[in-house]
Amino acid sequence: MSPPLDQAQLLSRAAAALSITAESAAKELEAARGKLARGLKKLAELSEDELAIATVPRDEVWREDMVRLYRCRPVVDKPHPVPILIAYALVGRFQMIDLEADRSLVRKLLASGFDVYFIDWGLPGRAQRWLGIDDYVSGYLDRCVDVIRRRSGRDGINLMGICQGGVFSTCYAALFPQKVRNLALTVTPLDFHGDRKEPQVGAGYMNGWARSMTTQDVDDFVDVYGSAPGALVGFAFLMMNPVSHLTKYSTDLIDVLDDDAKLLGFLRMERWIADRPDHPGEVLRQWLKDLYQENKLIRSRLVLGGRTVDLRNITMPVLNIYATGDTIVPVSCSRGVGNHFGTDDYTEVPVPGGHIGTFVGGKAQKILAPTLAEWFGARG
Amino acid sequence: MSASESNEGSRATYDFWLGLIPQFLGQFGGFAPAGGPGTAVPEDLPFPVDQIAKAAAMTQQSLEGLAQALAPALKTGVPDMLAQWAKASPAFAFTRFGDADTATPQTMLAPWLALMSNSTGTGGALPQAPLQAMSRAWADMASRVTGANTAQMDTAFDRTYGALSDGVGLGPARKLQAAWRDVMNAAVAQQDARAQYAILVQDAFVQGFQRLLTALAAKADAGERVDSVLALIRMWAANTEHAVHETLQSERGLAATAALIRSDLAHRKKTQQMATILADQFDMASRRELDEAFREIQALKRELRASDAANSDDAPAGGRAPLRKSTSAKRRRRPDPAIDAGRDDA
Repeated sequence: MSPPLDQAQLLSRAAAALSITAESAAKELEAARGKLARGLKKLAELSEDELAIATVPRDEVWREDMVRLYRCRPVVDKPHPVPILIAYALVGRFQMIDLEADRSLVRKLLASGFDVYFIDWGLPGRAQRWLGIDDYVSGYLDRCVDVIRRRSGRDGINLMGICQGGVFSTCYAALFPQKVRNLALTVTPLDFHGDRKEPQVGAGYMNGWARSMTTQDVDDFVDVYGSAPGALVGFAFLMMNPVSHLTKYSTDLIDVLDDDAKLLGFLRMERWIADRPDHPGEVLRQWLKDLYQENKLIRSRLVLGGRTVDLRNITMPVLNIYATGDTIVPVSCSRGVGNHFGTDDYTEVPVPGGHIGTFVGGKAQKILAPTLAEWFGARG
Repeated sequence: MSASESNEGSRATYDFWLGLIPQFLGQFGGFAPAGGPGTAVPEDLPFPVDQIAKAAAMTQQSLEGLAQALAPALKTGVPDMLAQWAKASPAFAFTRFGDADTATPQTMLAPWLALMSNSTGTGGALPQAPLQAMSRAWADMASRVTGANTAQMDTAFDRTYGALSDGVGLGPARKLQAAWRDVMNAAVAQQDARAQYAILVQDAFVQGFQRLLTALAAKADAGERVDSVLALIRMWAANTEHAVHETLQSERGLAATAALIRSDLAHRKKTQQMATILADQFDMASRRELDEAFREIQALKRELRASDAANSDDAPAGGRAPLRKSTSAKRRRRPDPAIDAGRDDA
């Protein structure tokens, strides 16, 4: 084995890999500046309509406080008799499920003949700081489910949760199993300590941060802030990949601005990212202490509204979809948890890409909606 | 919360990332001044397109500066370009290139730290600095003059004149002064935590540059070549990102992050205490008191929900949620909101 190089030798060896000349660098950077200049002109010509997200035709069918329940207009004459309710997370807005017409989970499910509802959790204000997880699960979510049950005449509906919405859906299915016919979870953290078994560089920041805080820190955070400001929550997500965000808003823009389709997709995603709601404080307190710190959900020790969330009550079929490149919810926090549920019909499906890529990524798009449609369809 | 309020926080986040662009691209050219004005940013663009346009214009300008800086370095060969780059790389300069501009890491990290301060609502880091400096200088001066620290002085002063002050109605002012002192102490602790965090980030950037050199050397050994400046920047980013992850996910990184959060919270808490004293003095409801009203409203809503559930046929698994003792189990079922009247054909 050769001895390690000192810095001078290393610099010299590294330089040997570079075949950049003054002329080539000048030409390349001039071309890049030209692309940016053309991109700036394109930006000036964009209309609001082109930037609109979540445009699927829909009707508001219920509301309470800041929460809204929407029914997407079916695109077939006789939709599947059991409706699907989609519950997104509180840390982002529901628009991710219908970001663009050709990258829309909702539209794909509608095209597969389903009757699709989704919840918009809205923008919680200071008055909502005291909302706890149970207020969402046994309150808003339960009311939404009841509305859909009444409208469809079904005892149980198909429930699909995304990330934090997946946790809420899991809790709901355990507390109200008679109202859930099938449960689908996507990029949902279930074993919040899963990352300890399989540590991954660049994944599971939230797990590490939450556990490095004391319970007193969490209490102080919630007491001091009331609700976690949306910008602060968003910033925490961005700081999981700080260097990528340096390139995202600089050198990566060169190619993005040069491609019309990429540009629109990029801007719509930015619009979604920028619309980050505040996070109710009491939900955050429980989320960090009971789940990230004490991992109570998977151990069936979580208590909501005086009732224990026992995962063995989940006897309906469960589909668990996780993203193989998820750094926000590490794979180890989602995968391999079937034995904790009370069902015999448990399916796990990996999709390529990251946490958000599951819903908008090219490869994942080809798997996600078809898998859901086939799975729900096969189970009535 | 209105859309504009929501955008306010997001704009602060964009300000942070965009503020780093000149430093980020500047480091590859040894921090030469940015190039000419570039293409003008179109006006009246919707949010966040306006931010992306700003980012594109800043990148364009920085690339021009980079081209100007690289030209002379590349005339004398690639090693000079790398050496120039290494000089600009945080702390790497100390170990290998003694004549580097040591202000570089601070310049690069300043907006980072400022945003952490802004995003947690404690005000900008930079504007606070003079106040903290004043506070510290005051404390230092007091110690030198009396041989005691400010807390001891205050205690002695309070014993002597405190009751008299209260007697003539200066109690709140004394409380306010004590609260202000607490805020300043918390601010100093906050700056210390930020400095520790910044050192950690610097370390990660140093490691990132080292990794880049190692990766390039491996390419050279394999007979591969990098012929693009932008590809080289992407390589730097990938290697540095990995180093940042390793550093911030380490025990030390997590502890520094927790300390940073803790110090921000302590500072905010002390500031709130000061605001509470002021609110009390001017007979205004404090935010905490409003929060208590919200808490009671939420408790009543829960009670109502539990009452509804008690009258419902759909009992949850694990039993019904307990009702508060004051709750009547026979409370009238709440009617569905009018909008619920819609039918499937809506």
